[in-house]
Amino acid sequence: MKELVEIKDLKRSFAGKKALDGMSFSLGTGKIVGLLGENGAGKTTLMRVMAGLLTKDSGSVRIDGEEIGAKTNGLISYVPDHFVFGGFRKIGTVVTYMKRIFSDFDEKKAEALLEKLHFTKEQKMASMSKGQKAQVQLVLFMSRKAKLFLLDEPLAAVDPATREFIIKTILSTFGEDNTVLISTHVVMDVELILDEVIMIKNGHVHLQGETDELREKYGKTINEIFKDEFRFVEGGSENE
Amino acid sequence: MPWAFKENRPIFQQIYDTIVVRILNGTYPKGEKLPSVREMAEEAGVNPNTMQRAMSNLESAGLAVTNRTSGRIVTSDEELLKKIKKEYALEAAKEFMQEMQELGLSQKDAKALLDEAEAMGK
Repeated sequence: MKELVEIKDLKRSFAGKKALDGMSFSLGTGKIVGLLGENGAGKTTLMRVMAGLLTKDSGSVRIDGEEIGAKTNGLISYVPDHFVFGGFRKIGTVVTYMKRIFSDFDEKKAEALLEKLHFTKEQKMASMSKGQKAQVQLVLFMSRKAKLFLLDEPLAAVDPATREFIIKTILSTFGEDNTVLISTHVVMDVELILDEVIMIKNGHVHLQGETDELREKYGKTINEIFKDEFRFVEGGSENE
Repeated sequence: MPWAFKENRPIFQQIYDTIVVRILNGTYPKGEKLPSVREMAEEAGVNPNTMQRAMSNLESAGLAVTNRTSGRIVTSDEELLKKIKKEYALEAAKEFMQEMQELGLSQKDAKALLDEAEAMGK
């Protein structure tokens, strides 16, 4: 069967610094996958390349069998780690905007979710807290009928109640016909919802596996494995 | 019994144990329909695929049966339920005795402690 995501030897540098240094992995459909890595590991660069927002230097990125381009952009819903609707005045305006831009946008679903959160169409974006903005943005992008959702640090800087809502939104959107890739450096928040994890380090894949298999193999939680794997310093420790 | 995931064991095993205890204590009554995988996954805050895996194991163990018309049903097999209850209870008892041994209590003292604890609970 054709994989939903196939990445081979992907490279991307910024001014000589290698952000992605020969990254390779593949992902199937119907999975929630954690992209785990410290800040600067290459998580955002990878997602931006996959979303078609950043060019690659070399290597290949195939989504549903197609190289990155107009075709794949329609299959992917990318939720950046910053707020993108700053210039809009009201929620209703943003909903209209989403509908106009994305043909797969499910307005009814978005409105139902926003209502659940007690947001109204008249509510002004500028009056919202950081956590509220994060919720609105996630709801809007998760209301697309995409095959691949790329969520960049969706749980950074949100309070525990918001975190729970975000987790529930991810679980309710996720299904057999899509895959959700979540980047984070706080593993504990997402450990229970992940089918698989990809740990990245210095721009390449350090470890990939199914979460329950890894827990069984290491006899540790993913959070503990992550901490162990990232504790040592590159280039040798002080004692050796 | 709430969903709790603290141990480093695979999540599907921890889910499985919680569901079994819920069946044994009647939260999910025998012969009745279990909630759907999606409902249970959302309630527990876990991946539906992981919940599905726990449910499949439940079926393999004979504790649940999938019925084409009415979904997944808790077994009505009294013998099986009794046997599983004994297994889980024995496991808990072993753990208790182990801990008491680590504290340096004799088996006799440990057993006496159970009566004492029960009296205190009343």
